[in-house]
Amino acid sequence: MLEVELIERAQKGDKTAYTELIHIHHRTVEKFAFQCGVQVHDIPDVTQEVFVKLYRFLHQFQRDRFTTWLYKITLNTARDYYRKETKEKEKEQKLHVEVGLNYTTKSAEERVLVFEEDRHLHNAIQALDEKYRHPIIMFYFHELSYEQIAEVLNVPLSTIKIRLMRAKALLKSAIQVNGGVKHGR
Amino acid sequence: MDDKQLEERLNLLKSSYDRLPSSIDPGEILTKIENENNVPPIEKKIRGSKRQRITVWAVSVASVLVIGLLGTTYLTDSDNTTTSDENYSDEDIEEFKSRYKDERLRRQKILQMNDAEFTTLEFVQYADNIFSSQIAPGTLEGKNDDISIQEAYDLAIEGLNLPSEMIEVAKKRGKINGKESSYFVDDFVTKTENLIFYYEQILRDNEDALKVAKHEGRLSEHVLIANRYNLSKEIQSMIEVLPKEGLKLDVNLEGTEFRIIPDWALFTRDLFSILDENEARYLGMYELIPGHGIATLLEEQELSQLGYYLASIEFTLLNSSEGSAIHSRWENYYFELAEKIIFPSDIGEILNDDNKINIETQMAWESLVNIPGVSPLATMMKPIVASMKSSDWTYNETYKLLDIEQLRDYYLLALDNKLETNKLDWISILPDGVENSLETPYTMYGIHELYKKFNENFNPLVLHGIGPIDITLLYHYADGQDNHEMMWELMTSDFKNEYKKEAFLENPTFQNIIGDSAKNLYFNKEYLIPDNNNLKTYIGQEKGSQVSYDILLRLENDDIWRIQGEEDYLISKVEPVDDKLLQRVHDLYISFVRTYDQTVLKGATPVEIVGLYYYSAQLKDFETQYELYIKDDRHLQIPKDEYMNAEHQHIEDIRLEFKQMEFEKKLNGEGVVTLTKYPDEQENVLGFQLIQTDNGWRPPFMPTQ
Repeated sequence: MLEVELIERAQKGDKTAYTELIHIHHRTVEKFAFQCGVQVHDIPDVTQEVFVKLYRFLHQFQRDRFTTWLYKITLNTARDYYRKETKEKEKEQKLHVEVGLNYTTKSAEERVLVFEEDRHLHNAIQALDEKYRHPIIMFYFHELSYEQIAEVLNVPLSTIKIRLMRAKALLKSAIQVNGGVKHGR
Repeated sequence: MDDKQLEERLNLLKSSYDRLPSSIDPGEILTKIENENNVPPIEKKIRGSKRQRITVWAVSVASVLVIGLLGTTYLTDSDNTTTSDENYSDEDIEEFKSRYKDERLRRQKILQMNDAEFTTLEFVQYADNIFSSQIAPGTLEGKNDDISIQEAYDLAIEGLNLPSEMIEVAKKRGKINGKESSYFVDDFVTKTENLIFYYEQILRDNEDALKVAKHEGRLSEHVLIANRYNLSKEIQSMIEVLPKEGLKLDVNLEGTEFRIIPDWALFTRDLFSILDENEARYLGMYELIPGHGIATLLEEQELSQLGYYLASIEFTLLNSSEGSAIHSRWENYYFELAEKIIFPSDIGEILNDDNKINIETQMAWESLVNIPGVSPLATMMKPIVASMKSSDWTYNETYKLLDIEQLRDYYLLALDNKLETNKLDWISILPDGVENSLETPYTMYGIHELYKKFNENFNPLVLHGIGPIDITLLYHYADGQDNHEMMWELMTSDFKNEYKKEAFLENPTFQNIIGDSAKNLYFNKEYLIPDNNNLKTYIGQEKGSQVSYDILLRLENDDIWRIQGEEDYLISKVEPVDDKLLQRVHDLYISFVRTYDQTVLKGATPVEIVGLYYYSAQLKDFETQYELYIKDDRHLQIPKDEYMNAEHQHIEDIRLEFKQMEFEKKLNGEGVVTLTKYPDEQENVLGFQLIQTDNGWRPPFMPTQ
C-alpha cells in the first residue's frame, strides 16, 4: 500500500495503518533524534513520544506535508524531553549523586560511532549552534530539500542556504582543529 | 579540507548512524495513545495531491542520472502514473531482454571492451540496474509501479548511450530548455568522467610500459601515439576510442604523467545551439577545470588571470539552474578559487616584503571589482580594493574584517535575486585630487589598450570602473583617431537625446576637448557634485596660467562616466515655471538660507538661480535675495541696509507670475534667462542677466535692466 493511502487511512482512525506508518518511519525518528543530541538510552522514550504526538496531530496535516511534520514533531519532542529531564534531574540531584551515567552514555555512543573520525564529526555537529546543526543534519543525513528544511524550521529559504554554508565552514574548521584525519576504514 | 572532503566524511558518518539500536514497539505506542484517552483523529477531507511521491530507487551510483531522466520524462507527467504493464507477456519481456543485450553489445564494441570491462563503467551499471529492477524484476528493489516497462526500457537505453551518441540524439531532438539542459550536462559530464576514470586506470596499469614514450626527457603523447602498435592491445584500443568520445591523451605540466582530458572544441560544438546557453557554459568551463578541480588551473594560470576565471565561474553559476550536480561542483570551485585569490591561508603568499599586496594579486582583485551587473565578488571586493588603493595597497584593517563567509552571504543573496547591481562608490574610490600628465607614454599606453578593447564592439561593460579622467582621455584619443562613432558612444544619453547621431558622426559637436597647451588633466574632488541621484564632475586642464575645469562628465545609471560636454542648461531649453521647478527652487532655498554658503549653489542651473531670486521675493525674504547677488569687486555692490530698505517687487506666486524661462549663454561668461510672463501682462518677455562665477551663476545688481 502506498504511504499516502496509509496516512489517509490512519487519519480516519485505522490503527493498523498507523502501525504500518510507525514501522516505515521509526528509524528516521530514532536517527534524527540521536543526531539532534538525544542520548542513546533516551531514544526509545523520545521515539514513543513522537509517535503519540504525531497521532494526536494526525488529522491536522496534509498528506504531502507528512515528512516535514514528522521532523518538526521529532525536533520539538527532543527539545521538550530534555527541558523536562533537566527539571527532573535537578530534583534528583538534590537526593542522589549520579554515578556511572557518563560511562553508560559514552559506551552506548561508542557502539554506534565506532570510528574515532565519526565521533569527532558527530561531536563537532553537536557543538554547533542549533540553528546550524539542524539544517546540516536534515540536509546531509536525511536528504531533505532546502524547501523542506525551511518548512520544518519555519525560516526563510535563503536563511537555510546561508546557515548550511556557514555550518559547513564551521564544521570544516572544527575538524581541521581536530587534525582532519582520514577515515579509518 | 574542501567541501567535497567534508561531504565524504558526512556520508560516512551517515552510514555509521545505521548502527543505532532500535527498540520500537508499536503496540506499546498504541496502548499509550489509548491510555491517554486520545481523541481518535478526526476524519478530514484532504486535498488531493496531484504529484505522487516517487519511490526512490535504490540505485546508489549515478543518482544524478535518475533525477535527470525522471525529471524530464516523469515528473512533468504525473497524471499518467498508472502503468499498463499487464499488457506485456513473458515473450515481450524476453524480447526486451534480447534487445537490451544487443544494444549493450553494440556499445561495448564501439568502446572495444570485453563484457567485464564494459560492466565496470558506472553508467553501464546504472543502465543495467534500471533494466534488471524494472523490466526483469526479482531483484531486491522490485518493480517501481509508477513507470511502464517501455519507459523503463527507454531509460535504460538512454543510460547506455555513450557521450558521442548523446550528442547525436540531442541533435535529432533539437533545442531544449534550461532544466533539461542542466540534466543533459550533468549526464554528459558524468559519462565522460566514467570513461576518463576507466582510461586513467589503464594508464596507471601500464605506467612502466609507457615510460618509453618520451621526447627530450618529457613524456609525450605524440610519441606514445606514434608507437602504439608496440604497446598492449588495451592501449591501442584506448588511443582509437578516445577521440570518438571527445577525449584525448595529454601530459601534465611537469611532463611526468599521462592523463586523459576532454577535447571538446569540435566534439561539443553542436551542443551550443541545442542546449540553453547558460547551461552550455559548463561545457566550456569543464574543459577549463576538468574533474581534478582547481589545482590544474592554479598550476597553469598566472595569478593575475585567475580573477577572470573566477568571474566567469561566478557568471555561469548565477545564470544557470541551481541543484544540478555540475552546479554544486562549480560552487565548490568558486569558493575554493576565491579563497585562494582573496583569502589565502598564508597571507604571505600575496604580500611583498614591504607589506603591500603584490602586483599580480592587485591585478586579479581589480578585475573582480569591475565585474559588471550583479556580482557577489564585485560587491565584496569594492570596499577592499578602494581602501587598499587609498593606502597604496598596504595590508589593512578593511581587508582583515572580511572573510570568505562574506562572499557566501553575497552569493546566496545573488542566487535569490536579492543582491542589487552594485554601483561603485565613486565618492570613496576617487582620490581627493589627481594630476594626470599627458606627456608620459604610460598614460596614453593604458588608454590605447582601453581604446582597442572598447573599439571591438563598444561594449559599455569595458568602461565599467573607469574613472572620469580616463574617459576624457579615451574621448580625446578617439578624437585623434577620427573615431566619431566611439566619440558618440562616449556621450551621455541626455546629449544623445538632444542631438542627432548622423550630424554628430559627420561633424562631432565636441572636438579637441583637451587644448594643445594642456600638459596635465586635473580631477578635484570638490568638483564631484551630486546631481539628480547621480554624480557629475569637471575635469580641469591648463588654459594659459590657469586650470580651467571645463570638461563636464556625468555618471550615468549604468555606473559609467560619459562626456556631457556642456551643462544641460547650456543646451537651450525652455523650462515651464511649474510645481517641479518650484520644488527644486524650494530645496535650493532651504539649503542656501541656513548659512548663505555660496558653494551650495555651485551646481544650480541659471534657471534655478533666477527662480530662487523670485522665490525669495515671494517669501519676502529680501536678505536671501541680497545674498544671491554676485560678490565681486568688478561688479557694482550695494550696501545691505540700503538694499533692505529699498522698495521691492511684490510677487504672489512665481508660478502665476511667470509662464516659462529659457537660458541662453552669451560671451565672456555671461548669460541671460528670458522669462515669459503670463499674456495678460503688458510686457510679455523679460531678460534676466547672469554672470558665471566659481560658485555658479549669479545675478548682478539690477539684473533685469
